[in-house]
Amino acid sequence: MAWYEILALLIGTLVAFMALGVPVVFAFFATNLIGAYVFMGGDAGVLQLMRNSVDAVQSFALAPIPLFIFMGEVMFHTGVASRAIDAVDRLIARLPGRLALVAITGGTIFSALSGSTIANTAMLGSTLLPEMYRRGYHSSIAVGPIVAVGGLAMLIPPSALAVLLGSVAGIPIGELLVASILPALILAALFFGYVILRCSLSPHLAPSYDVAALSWRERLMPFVKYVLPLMAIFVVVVGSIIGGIATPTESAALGAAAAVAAAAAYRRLTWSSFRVALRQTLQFTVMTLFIICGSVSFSQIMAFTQASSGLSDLVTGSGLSPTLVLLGMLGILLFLGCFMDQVSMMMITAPLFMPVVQQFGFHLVWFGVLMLMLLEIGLATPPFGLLLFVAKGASPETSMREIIVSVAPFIALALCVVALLIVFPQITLLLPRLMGS
Amino acid sequence: MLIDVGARNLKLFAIPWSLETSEYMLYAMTFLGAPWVLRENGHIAIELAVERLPPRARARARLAADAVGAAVCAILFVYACRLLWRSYASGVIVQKSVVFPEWIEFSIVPPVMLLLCGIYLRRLLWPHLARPPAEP
Repeated sequence: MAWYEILALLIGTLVAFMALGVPVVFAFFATNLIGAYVFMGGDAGVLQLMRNSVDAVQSFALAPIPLFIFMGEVMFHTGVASRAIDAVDRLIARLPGRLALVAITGGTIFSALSGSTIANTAMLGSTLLPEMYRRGYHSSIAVGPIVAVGGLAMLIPPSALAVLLGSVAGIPIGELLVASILPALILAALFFGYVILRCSLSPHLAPSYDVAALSWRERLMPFVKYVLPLMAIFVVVVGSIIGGIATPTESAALGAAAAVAAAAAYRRLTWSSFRVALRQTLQFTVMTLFIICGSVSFSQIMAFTQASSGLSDLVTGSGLSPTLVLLGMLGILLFLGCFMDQVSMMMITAPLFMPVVQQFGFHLVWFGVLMLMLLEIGLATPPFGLLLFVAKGASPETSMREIIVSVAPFIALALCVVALLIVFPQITLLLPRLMGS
Repeated sequence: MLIDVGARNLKLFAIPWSLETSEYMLYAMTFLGAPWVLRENGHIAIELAVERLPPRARARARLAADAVGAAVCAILFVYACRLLWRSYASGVIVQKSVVFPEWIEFSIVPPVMLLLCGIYLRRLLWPHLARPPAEP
């Protein structure tokens, strides 16, 4: 069989099982069983597949995933995060679209404490959406910012999915985590500016209301008390990576311990909230890591059958410019993001893209950040964007159509940032270079 | 891990087995947790196409998906047993910071695959006992 027939067979089988509703992990296992049996020597191939699955998650590099998720879940379920949002709420006074700005600022802060996009969106949705609707906010300015900023948890460290991407694509995890910070902050600033502009032009979208007159001390104190100490956790996590004191896994352990300590210090840590946080972390981690067990042989079958190198050679020999190839890969991610979850996208595209990335000499960390940006956008693209459903869960009265319409401008802004990062790679590479020096 | 970071940076001592222990725990947690997550309907599935089918076809598609899951887990159970037996018979020893026979590492997989298969079979045979699909 030619490499392209093998590639079509493997991808086709995988997509068919997924479309039938077979859980992603078992769709990968089924495809790999067929691929290993047919192309890797029958029984011996399947036994190798079993061995690969066992070895797949015995990796120190993957250990930050549960720890980063746990940080976010602890902050969310102990109520420490919503207190921080309240503090931000006091800080922002009479700006157009005030509550949407609180969502963006609070969401960005929470992203620096949580590796879970779901926890971020659910926390903002449950905390701020009811208040926004009570104040007469239009859905287009209420839901959009929450879904958009919810995805930032994927970019700003601690980010569980950045760790996963680094691990499966062979990108240095520490550098990838640090490189995503500036693009995420630019994105947050653009979201902030957009809300102010939109609400200034159309004030009916976010009717202004009287905010209780507070002194500067009353405004600042909750921020100092409930937000600044939490930012110390971010400094511990990122600082220990940049300073070379700890590996990403060790910094994640420090962060998780600091999150529990912070919740205890605020007297919010209860046995029930701790148990819920642990349970949610376990469920997400097992789901994610089991997909790695199921899919790890996919890339090996691709390599063994020369499907990935065949595709890479085809792209390299096609005479297409590197920019066009890059845009093609990002376009595929954008398309897949409409239908697929982020882990599956990574596991399918990384084995196909990384040989091409290396052939064209793209900077690994730069490409990794671009890929993360597209994966983040995929969280909000209809019809399957995960965060759209999380927002729907937090606000059942808002129709899915309204949610999609409200998110569209934010997706456009995120695509603008992707274009900016393509044109100016130094934005992405500034912090990793600082780390190297 | 925390003690290891602190002690290493203070140049007191290092805990060489902390890294390996984390790796084994990650592996054990993933496999042992997989049946629980399946029972809770927590394994992510793309139901976009299935949800658009008429009710009868949707029910059939779900049955087919469960049948695929049961078959995959049954095959993996057989191969996991064979891998375990091979490792036991060959007497391979894992020689890292912690030294132990390799078959111990593989012994988790067969019962996990059997449990996963059992959960799928229960869904197929007694669908009324299965939990409703989880919200995404």
